[in-house]
Amino acid sequence: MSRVIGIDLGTTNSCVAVMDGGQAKVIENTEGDRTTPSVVAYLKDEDRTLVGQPAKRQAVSNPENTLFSIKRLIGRK
Amino acid sequence: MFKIVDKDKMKNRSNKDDADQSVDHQDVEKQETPEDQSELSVDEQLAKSQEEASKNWDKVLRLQAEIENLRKRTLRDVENASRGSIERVMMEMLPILDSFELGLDLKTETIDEYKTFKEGQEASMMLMNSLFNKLSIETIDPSEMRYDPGLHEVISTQEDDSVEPGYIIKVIQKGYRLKERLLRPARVIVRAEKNKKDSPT
Repeated sequence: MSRVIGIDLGTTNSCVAVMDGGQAKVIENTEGDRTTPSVVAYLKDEDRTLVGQPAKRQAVSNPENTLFSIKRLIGRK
Repeated sequence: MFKIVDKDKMKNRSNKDDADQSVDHQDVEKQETPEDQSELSVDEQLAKSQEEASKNWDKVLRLQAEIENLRKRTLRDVENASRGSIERVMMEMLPILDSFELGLDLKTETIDEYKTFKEGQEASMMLMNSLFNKLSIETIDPSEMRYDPGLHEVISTQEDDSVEPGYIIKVIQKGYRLKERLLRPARVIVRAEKNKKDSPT
């Protein structure tokens, strides 16, 4: 059965919801939060990518490889 | 192509003996009989299908109503469950709150009075820790450990040669974890990366 899914790609937070019986139901992320920070981080040492809350938590120590508010940059030359 | 095939078929048929032909006739007769029956009972069949359709439609409506009721009941159950869990935790918290309140009523003018107050506070804290154990809440105190973005939040970075890069210098605020779920990350100061300006990115 096909389902309708909606993604709100926000500047600071993103949210995903699915239509369930005529009502939109927000899907929680793995950490149990209904919204996920729109932040992505690349770890140099570990060759790992962080998304959401963990990426936001390490932004201070890894500012050069942490991307946030990326919506403001989309389409810029 | 098709014509040739047809001719071949005709040839094959002409070669067949009379017995085979009689079998063919029987087959035709057999095919005709059910058709006749179905033509006779078209009205009956229609009535039967209509009855079946209305039965199925009734079933669909009933199931739909059942699903709607189930959804409402589930929502109510979830609300009750969350209220119930808050109540249970609060019931466990109240004696600890009483203990802290008793401590606040104590006089702390002399050293002995202050010592009694402090012992009381420590006892209350022990109660709190035992409650945490009971609720499977784990304290995250990562002093001198390697920084982990899954559990710790960097407040700032500092240069400190006594600690390796990527390790925690100081814990500003402890974190808490409920089983696999992080309640609050530990807020920490991390050793700054060496040669930061030399890195290409």
